[in-house]
Amino acid sequence: MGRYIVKRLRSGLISLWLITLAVFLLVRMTGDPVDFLVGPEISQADRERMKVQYGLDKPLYMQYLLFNKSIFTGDFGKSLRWAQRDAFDVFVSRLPATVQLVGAALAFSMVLGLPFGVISGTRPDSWLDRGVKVLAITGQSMPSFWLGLLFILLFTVYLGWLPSAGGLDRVGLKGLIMPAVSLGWFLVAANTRLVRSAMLDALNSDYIKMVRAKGVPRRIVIWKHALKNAALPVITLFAVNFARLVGGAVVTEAIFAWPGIGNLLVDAVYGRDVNLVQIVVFFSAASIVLVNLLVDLCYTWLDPRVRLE
Amino acid sequence: MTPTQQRQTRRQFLARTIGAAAGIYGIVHLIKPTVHAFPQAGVGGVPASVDKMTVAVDGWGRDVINPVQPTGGAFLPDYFNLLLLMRDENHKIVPALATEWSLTDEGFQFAIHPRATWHDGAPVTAEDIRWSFEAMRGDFSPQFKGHHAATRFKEQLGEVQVVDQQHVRITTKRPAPDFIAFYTGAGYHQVHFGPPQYLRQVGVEGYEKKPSGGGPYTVKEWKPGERMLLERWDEFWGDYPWYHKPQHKMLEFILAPDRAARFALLKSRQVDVAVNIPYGVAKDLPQSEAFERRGINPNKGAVWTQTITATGNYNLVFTGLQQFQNAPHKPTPEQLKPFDDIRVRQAMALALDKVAISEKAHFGFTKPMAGLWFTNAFGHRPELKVSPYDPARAKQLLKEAGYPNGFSTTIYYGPFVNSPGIREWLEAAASFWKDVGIEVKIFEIEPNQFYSQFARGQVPDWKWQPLAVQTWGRQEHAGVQATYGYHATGTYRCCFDERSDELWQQASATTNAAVQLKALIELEDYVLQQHWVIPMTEVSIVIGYTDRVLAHPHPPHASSFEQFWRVVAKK
Repeated sequence: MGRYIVKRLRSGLISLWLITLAVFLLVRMTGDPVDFLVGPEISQADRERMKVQYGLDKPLYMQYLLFNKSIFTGDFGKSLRWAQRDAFDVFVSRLPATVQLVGAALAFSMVLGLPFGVISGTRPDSWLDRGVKVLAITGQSMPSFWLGLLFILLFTVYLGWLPSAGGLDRVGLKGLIMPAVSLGWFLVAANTRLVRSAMLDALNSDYIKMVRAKGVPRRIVIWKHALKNAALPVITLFAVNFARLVGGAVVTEAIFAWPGIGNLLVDAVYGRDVNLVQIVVFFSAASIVLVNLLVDLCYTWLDPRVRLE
Repeated sequence: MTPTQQRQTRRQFLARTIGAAAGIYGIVHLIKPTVHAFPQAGVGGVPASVDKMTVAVDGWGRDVINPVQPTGGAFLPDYFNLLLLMRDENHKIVPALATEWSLTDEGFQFAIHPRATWHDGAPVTAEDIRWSFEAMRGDFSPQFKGHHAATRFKEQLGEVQVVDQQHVRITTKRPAPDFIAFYTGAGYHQVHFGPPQYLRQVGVEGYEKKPSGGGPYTVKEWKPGERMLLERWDEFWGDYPWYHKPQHKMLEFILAPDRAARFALLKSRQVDVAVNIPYGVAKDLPQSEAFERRGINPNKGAVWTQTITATGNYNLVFTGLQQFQNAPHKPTPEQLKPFDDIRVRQAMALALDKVAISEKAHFGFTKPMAGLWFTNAFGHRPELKVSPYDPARAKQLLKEAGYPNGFSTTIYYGPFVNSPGIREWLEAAASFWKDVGIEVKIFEIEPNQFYSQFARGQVPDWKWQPLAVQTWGRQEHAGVQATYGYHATGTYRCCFDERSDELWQQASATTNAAVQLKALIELEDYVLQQHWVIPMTEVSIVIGYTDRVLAHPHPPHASSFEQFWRVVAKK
């Protein structure tokens, strides 16, 4: 186990290094940050002065070395766009909003996805199953931004029930509902299909036949014995989706003016705020690497048949 | 004369007098229609104070809000920091921190409002202003690194003199005709004044976290990229009709970049005001201009609008003519064709029905441009006519130039905040160009790329784009556009030659208005005769309000939203 963890961490670190290098180069290749920091009327002398001020006059390799150093010292430099704030502080100030949104979206996807998948898997080819399948296809076909705008039109503009912009501290839990549902709907569909498929496999397995033969009630067969194994892929996907969405709920955050790191990343990319882009990408990538490792480790606990090699 | 006869005479006299007075009053008002007064807080049933006003915007300039080291124009500091001057709802330059002022070839001098104080109660003094100018110039580097345009400060400003505690004199190294436009707040939002003692105490970093100033609000909460919550400062010293303590106790700005979501916020009353409503939506809403007065709620529905005009303009630029001296990629003679031929450039202008484009693509919210300078800016000529729509002549010119069947080309633009409707305009223009045989492909590139590729002359080889849309935020003085756009060292060049440079020199060498005007008019005529650019349209920003808002006196032209302290609400 120990060797496995070390091996995974080593490959994870290599992945992280490659990601930061790619981001570093891509952001700098796509334009001069100073051009977006100031307007086109700025004089050449002032541009050069600002480059020196923000360390952008140094050779590329020097800038990269300084960034790598910053990872180990914890000083990620200043955000160019918010010139006097540490990039790390800016990132940390926005992270909770995304964690709240993604957590709510994933919880929503589990709360609906699991029961739907079970219902569908235990009643194959019934009208319930067909209904759930239609729901799954619809969910996976609808882009989240379109769904979000529809929700805003219905629940905000026409019905006036729910607020449509701002973070938790501004609009409260009611403001979390629409963005969480529009972000999580795709995952409801994905989880439903996954659980359905896993349930069908589980219900056809020998150990379930044994349990049935012992006279265990149907609902216990389904919800205790079969679901336990059927839920394994969903649980692992939960963790992976969490890490993925933390850096990727960009569209939903834009539609709902949700002040998370998705919005922050988009603003940073547009503004060529290199320090901020690097830190957001670095932590997003690091969280995915770490979560993948944890999921693999948890799997051995959840399913004793699995051995890590 | 009997008493009865006397009474009759007096009655007749009275009747005639009253009748004459009524007649004169009627005639005067027929000639000069009534200008309705804006509702005022605490008057005529309007509450003296209301709780909160919330405004959704799609952008507010730079998120760096300290006054001595800004990175660009920013609108939010207007609300808690100080401007020397501003414009009122009639576009007139009016006092703010400066109560009186004069601009000469030697410099600018002004008097500070006698009751002006910072939020901590300390008076605003001439020494404060001197320190601020010097800090912006970079004199106190490295602690205060200076304004992003510090070079301009250094090149233009001489000594900042404290005449006495209330008077400042700033000498300029040479005549600075655009001084008021850049430095005072009557044009840009580039130069604000904050409390030097506080700045020295907390530094720029501390200031960004907890701003303080001397304006009508204090900053209660500031989340860059997200929102700003301002609280009314009840001791605010401003006593002008255009600059005073606000009616609302709290003012919140929230950033809502998506325009559909921003309008939904307004419709659902989550916000009281939404800036930059799309034209296609705004056309169906009651427009205050069509009723009592621009900026007064016409009471025709749950939402109403006010349109701020000439907030920016768009010019079609033939990028190959820019002549960047240090550009890494210069166009080859082949790449310059066909736009090296003035007949082709002229044909492209004649092929466009700019009036129809404004009416159809922008639903009449924008105004086609005849010249280069902004409406009501210094240098603007209202009598200039929009270029005629003459497709037959356009085809003739193309034929003479050797393109009887037209040609294909490409055009690129950047979708900047507060620059609505570029794509719609170009698509409409493309259909007009197609009628004369010119096929135009339109590319949108993100703003940073636009700046790199256009403003710095770094058009890439692999995607040569002969045409570009140059966007201007509003400039109150044509000399500013001339400086940046039409002379050799301009940083946002359209194009130039010796003659345009010479005219720019004349315009920028004096504060004498008549001399400047003459040179700027000549420069405009010259550029238009060369067909270096095709003026497209002036843009407008539509501000939407819920019916809770009774009025918002706002300058008729601005580069974005302004003066929300003047909003009056009913509850």
